[in-house]
Amino acid sequence: MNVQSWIVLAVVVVTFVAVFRYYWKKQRRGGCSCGSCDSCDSCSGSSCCGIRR
Amino acid sequence: MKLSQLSIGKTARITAVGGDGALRQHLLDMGVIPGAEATLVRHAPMGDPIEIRIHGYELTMRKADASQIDITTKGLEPQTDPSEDAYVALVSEIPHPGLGEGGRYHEEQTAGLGSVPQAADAGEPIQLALVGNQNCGKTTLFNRLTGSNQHVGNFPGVTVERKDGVVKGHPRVTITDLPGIYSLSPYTSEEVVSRRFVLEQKPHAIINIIDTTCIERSLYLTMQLMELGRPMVLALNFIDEMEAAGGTVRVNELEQMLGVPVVPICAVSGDGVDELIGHVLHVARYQEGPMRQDFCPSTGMRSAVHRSLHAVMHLIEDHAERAGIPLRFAATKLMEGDTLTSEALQLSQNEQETIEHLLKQMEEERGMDRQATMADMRYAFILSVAGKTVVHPRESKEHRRSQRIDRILTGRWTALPSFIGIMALIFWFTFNSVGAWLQEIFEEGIDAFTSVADSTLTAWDIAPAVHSLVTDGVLAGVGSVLSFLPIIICLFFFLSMLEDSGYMARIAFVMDKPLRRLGLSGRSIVPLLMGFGCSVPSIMASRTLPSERDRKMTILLTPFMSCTAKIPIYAFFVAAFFPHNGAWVMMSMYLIGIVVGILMALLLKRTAFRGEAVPFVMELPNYRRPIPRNVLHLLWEKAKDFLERAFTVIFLASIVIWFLQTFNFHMEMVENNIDSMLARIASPIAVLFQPLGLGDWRIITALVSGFLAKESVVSTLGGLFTPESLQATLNTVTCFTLMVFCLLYTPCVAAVATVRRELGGKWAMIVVCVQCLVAWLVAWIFALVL
Repeated sequence: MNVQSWIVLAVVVVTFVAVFRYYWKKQRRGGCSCGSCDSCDSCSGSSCCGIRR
Repeated sequence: MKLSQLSIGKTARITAVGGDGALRQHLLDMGVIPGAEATLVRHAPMGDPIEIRIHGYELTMRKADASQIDITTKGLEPQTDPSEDAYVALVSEIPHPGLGEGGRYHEEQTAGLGSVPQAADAGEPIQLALVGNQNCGKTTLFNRLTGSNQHVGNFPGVTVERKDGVVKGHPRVTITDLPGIYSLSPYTSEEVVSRRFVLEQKPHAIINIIDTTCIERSLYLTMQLMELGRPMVLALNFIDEMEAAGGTVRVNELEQMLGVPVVPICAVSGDGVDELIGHVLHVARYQEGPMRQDFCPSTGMRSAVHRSLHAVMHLIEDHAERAGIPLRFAATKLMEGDTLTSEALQLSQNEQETIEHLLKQMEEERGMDRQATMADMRYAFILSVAGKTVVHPRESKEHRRSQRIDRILTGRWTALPSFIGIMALIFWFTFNSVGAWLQEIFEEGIDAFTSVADSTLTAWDIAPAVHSLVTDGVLAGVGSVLSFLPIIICLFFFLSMLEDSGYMARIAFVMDKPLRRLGLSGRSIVPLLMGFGCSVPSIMASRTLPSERDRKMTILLTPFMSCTAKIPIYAFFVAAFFPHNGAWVMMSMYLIGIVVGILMALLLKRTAFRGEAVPFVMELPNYRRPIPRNVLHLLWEKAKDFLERAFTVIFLASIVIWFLQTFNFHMEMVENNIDSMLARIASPIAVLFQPLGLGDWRIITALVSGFLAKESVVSTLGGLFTPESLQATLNTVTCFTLMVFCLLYTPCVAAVATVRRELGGKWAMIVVCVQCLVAWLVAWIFALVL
């Protein structure tokens, strides 16, 4: 694999890890059951189901 | 004569309210009391339910419930007793009482005590509660006070769970938006949320927002809140609408009579909101409670209530103190037969019997049962206050407009065609016109981006595996889902227009009778219609249903309504297999969902949910123009939500599935997908789908990924199939069968989690299993028949 391939692969892997961490934290941290909000303090409004965890 | 026998346009006076239990109490709380005037406005298209006008607002109820209400058309003069004027002191042109503003409260409250209560430190946290009837503008005011964007709608019961926010400019002041209630006698489960909050959390102050255009009914809750003794401010919302129609409220006089600060506001424009927050912070810091809690006259025909109520108060004083329930509130609720209060008070046998004797005596003297007597006492006070402080408007232009529109939209011969026509237009605009056109533009953009990325990677001489990861994994997965954004936004736009305009409430009114045949109530139509948008909020919306049976049944049926997340699946297959009949195939999916839902409802009605649907008692709001800001905000939220799902769960799933389909268990890139890890894992399950003609491991993989998010089905199929291999694997029949299975099988994980939260883990499991089973059976039938 050439250098460009490694760079592209690194970008995809880093993005994957970052998105996974974000998604995982969001699922665990609380907020709403539907997953629309990060936490009850940052409830995003109408897309939110309003159910606190 | 019964209310159900009244002719359209005729007015009668209610003489007795029959029936029993929570429904009767609810009717009394809504102002259906002996002595009230009711006018029959119309029947629903199928003859039932009926719409009546009472205390200046429209209420719907079934004929069976109306037949329990006795009326008379003779002697329409109100039941008044001149001697009772003493309990609402006659006032005229008084100066502004200034409650909630300065020292006047303390002058009266602390006379003789020699000390003025100390204000709480300005830095101390303050908890406020926003309480009011359904659809009176609570959430609009909440958004105005906090700067947040909670969903509002022109339908009773949009808010089903408390929501907290910090008041703008006051970082230590929290306000809680509560679901709408008509009294503190809980009738539905979301009303219990409000009652519990006010009673148990003991907020520092209450903002009681009322719809001024039907002030009499609204003040009923106000009186019960005043009985709690908590500091409160009365916010008169829609005062602009009332004044535009030539009416007004003499605010100074109303404030003087009620003994609480009264502030006219317009929650939509923000007029008066600063003044309101100033007053409520003042009463919260100084803990200024209502100056009046006694609403029963000591003379006249209602004096029996006064004597009984005060006797009960003396008797239970120690119990109320121990239970931490305000005394006057505890006594009135006990007299109404509120079981929650009587359990909390833990009265002895002797005390219970004494109270029973007192109540019997009161009933005998008053000639009404205890619940009706209490409601009558409150409404007598309200009518007396309103008579002196409210200048009733001529019919408002909003009401006139609503009546004109309703002649068509709820008319006997026009209601159902209008409903079908409106829904057909919505689907046509979404799938065949505006939505489809926007989707094409979006698709072209995504295709252009993908081809630029592809040629760039080729130019950089990227290794085949990495190239495939980016193009076949990430771009194919996320891109295939993103292109459906315009269609989803379109459908949500129309659903929000239905709700904000007030038409959703009319649909419930029109559809009550047919839904009752399925064992549901008219109110169930709202969660079911919202199910076409997203199952999560629609399952939540079922909280407005007053019976557990109806709620469970509605929640079980909601996932049969095809949500927007399934649109990408249909569109994907329609483009591949039904390019010339796309709209018809799409429509057929929605119809199949509805028909299977109806069959399930009939099955449930005859098996697990025997019995009758709960009564249909609902307020019909005036039609209002949807507020563009609210609609745009809703669309932005939905777009944001969809994009977030595409770039999180779909992105992750796309990469995982690409990895599993590209490598084998020895971590070697495979030439053919059939040798991949994914094929090995999914093949055993595929056997179950052989009878449906869907025994391909790639289809099973797509269906499993759909449990995370329905859009994932498309991104997975996009990654696993080329257009040619898809055509080779499926034909029009098996494709239709697969679409039917996707329509009906288990809801996504977010919807299942919501069912679990609402009904418990057992029901969530039942939903998953039953939906999968029904989906398999129906798909099998289609596979056999087609």
